[in-house]
Amino acid sequence: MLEELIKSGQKDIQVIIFKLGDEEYAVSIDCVQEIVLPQKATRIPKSPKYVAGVINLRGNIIPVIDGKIKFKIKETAQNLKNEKRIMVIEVENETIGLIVDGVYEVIYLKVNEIEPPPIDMDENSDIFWGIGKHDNRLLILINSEKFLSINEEKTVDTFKKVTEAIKQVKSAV
Amino acid sequence: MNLEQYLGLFIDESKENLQILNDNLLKLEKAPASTEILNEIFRVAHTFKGMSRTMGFNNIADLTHNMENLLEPLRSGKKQADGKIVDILFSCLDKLENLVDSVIEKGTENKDNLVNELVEKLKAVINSESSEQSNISVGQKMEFNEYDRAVIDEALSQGLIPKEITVSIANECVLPGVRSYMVNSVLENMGEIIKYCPTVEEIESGVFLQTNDSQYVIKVLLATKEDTEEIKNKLLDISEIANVEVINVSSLAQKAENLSEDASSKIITVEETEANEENKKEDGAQVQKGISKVANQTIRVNSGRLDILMNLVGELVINKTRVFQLSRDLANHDLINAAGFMENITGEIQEIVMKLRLVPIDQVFNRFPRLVRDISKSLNKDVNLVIKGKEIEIDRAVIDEIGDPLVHLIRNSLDHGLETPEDRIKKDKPAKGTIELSALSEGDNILIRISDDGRGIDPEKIKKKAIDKGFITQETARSMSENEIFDLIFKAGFSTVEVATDLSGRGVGMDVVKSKVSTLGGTASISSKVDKGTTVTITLPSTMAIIQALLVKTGNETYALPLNYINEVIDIPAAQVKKIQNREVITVRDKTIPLMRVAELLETPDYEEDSEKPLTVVIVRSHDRYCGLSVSELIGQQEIVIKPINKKLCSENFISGATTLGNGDVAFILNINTLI
Repeated sequence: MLEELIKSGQKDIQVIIFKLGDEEYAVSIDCVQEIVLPQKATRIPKSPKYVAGVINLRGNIIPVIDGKIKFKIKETAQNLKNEKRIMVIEVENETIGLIVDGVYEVIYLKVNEIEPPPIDMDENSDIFWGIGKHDNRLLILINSEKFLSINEEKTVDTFKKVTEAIKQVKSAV
Repeated sequence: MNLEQYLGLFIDESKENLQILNDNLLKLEKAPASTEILNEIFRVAHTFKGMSRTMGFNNIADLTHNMENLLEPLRSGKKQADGKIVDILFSCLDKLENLVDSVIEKGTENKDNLVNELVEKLKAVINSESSEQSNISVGQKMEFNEYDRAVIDEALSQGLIPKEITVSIANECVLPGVRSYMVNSVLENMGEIIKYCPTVEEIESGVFLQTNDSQYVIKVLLATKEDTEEIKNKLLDISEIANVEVINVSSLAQKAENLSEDASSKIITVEETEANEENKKEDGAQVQKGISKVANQTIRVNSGRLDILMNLVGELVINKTRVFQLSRDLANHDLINAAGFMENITGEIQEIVMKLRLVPIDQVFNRFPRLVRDISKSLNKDVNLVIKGKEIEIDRAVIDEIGDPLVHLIRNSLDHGLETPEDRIKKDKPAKGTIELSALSEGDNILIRISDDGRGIDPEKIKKKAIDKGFITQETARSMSENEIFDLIFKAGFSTVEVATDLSGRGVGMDVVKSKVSTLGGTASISSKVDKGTTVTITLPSTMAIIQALLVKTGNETYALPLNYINEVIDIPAAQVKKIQNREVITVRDKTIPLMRVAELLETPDYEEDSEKPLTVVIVRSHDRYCGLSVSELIGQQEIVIKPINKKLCSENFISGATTLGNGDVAFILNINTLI
């Protein structure tokens, strides 16, 4: 993913930074349709645990996924309830909502600020773009194209590993 | 010239024309001497030729050109349309369909050698003596029928002088049609056009009169006061006009009169081929009026826009319900009146918009006469196809999807259902089999039936096969009703015919039919009597977007049940629920039906049942199978707008869609078909 970005000759990409648990993640702004306040979702019977339900977004019914449950990220006490948001993103021609612990800012990330992920991710490498280093922050860049396919246990594990690796790097600093 | 923008139009019109051609060829087979049918076929071929030449699709043009040549002697009665000729015309139709398909897919024609082959074949059939060019080659003089002469006399009596004007457009002209219109409008200003030859229709399809040195010649009969030089000058002012000749006609009319006295025929025409059309149309100007009248009645609309309109009306309906609810809550009399008025209007808008999406089912049915003809020929079976209710209207979304299942069912009837003529005679049946395809509307549903009077299906055979294949056990087989047995046919991998042909019998298909129908929100069922025949009934909702539904509550959750599946709602004391083989059943009017608790089924959270309270049970029916759904409470009947949902996340087919309620909440629509 990162190689392609470098090859394309683009100098920077615009990303939106959001929080899940302790870590900051970022996703390309192109796929984000809007950010809305959390609202009561209607449960979908017999759906996976990470699906919070569906919400009525101006007449369109869209499913909402709880990011922390989906990626098995631990809840932390520091996150304030009133910072929770639903990020409405468009992936693979489907619109879904992602519940996150906070949406902070939109930045231009220089391509040379992006590093490959710290661990070997073999076949699952395409779910991340890499790690963005920006103003002493470490941002985990998610590839929105592959977002919904992060389904299988293995991919979720990879996701966890990357998050753990970033934590270690941070504590070492 | 950029023709891209006309491509859509070309495709639409081609499709229409192909259908007309198909219908008329089928008619021709039954009545080979009918000039009316031949004329229609000729007209279509002709239109095709013109359109495709304009678009630069030369294969289509060549093919249709030669079709015209073939039709020419038939039309004039010099030859009879025998089976061989009809077959060739059918293969031309197929080729045309092919070519048009490739245009649809790629925007260009396929390069196809078969076209040349077909053209050669056509040429071989065309008798050498009647293979004149079908392009209208005119004699030097225009001639007139009785009507024309009456008009000429009338003009003379008003002091106008009828003049025959021959305009030759330069051969290198790119758009002779446009020049022709300019000629028309110039002449219109100078007097009354009595006759315009070729007709407007012909000019539109690129057909002109021809002389030795000019490709595009127009002849006009004009009643005018202007003098000859003036007319000439004005016409020569138009660019690309090569030559203009003006002759006073009074003498011609005289001559025509003489001729008509001599000849016993009432109509004298330059061209035999034009006789019929001329007769019908009277003159060009009237044809033009006729066309614009028809054009005003229908317009083509991009279906995407219809969908947007549909969505907006859906929103409107939801908000209407909300306003109505609010007005009642506020108990303001004026507001309730106003809201009621709005409700009426919204209702009407909704009805009209729903109708916009409806198209006659004929759009699917019309392909079957041909299909049946071809298959019955290849199977050596004699079949009479009866089509009923083709005017029944059905949602556009359904039309697109239902074709393939129907093709499959009709093939089945032809291949497996109907016996060979010999077998039928042995059974004391008429040698000719009958397949009936009918559509009728029943409440909110459309029923499509395909029935044959063939050998029927033996339920015992089905049972045996199902046991052999391990679908059911001996034991269950014994307790199964006839309907349940026939339902087995819809199971995947089930086929009772040992030999698979290229038509049917591979055991795939009936399950596909069932699943397709079920995705459309419908059901399919089979009934059959041995040696009497088989009937397959498909039930479909007539509209796909807005339905009547019963809203129910289980625990704190609201669900919608489509009204057309609901049989009745009853309260039943908890003690009356019995258990048979570990399944709960209830008895309603001596009928035992299974009971399902919706809250358990959907794993509703925080739901506690009061074991003392009587159960509220909604009895639903799908395919003569009944089932009771126990719910906590009924909310009421309401119109709901079906909204699509993300199929990946809504598992197990419990849910067919969702809707938004008046208060903005979302309610899921239960999929009754897969539930019971």
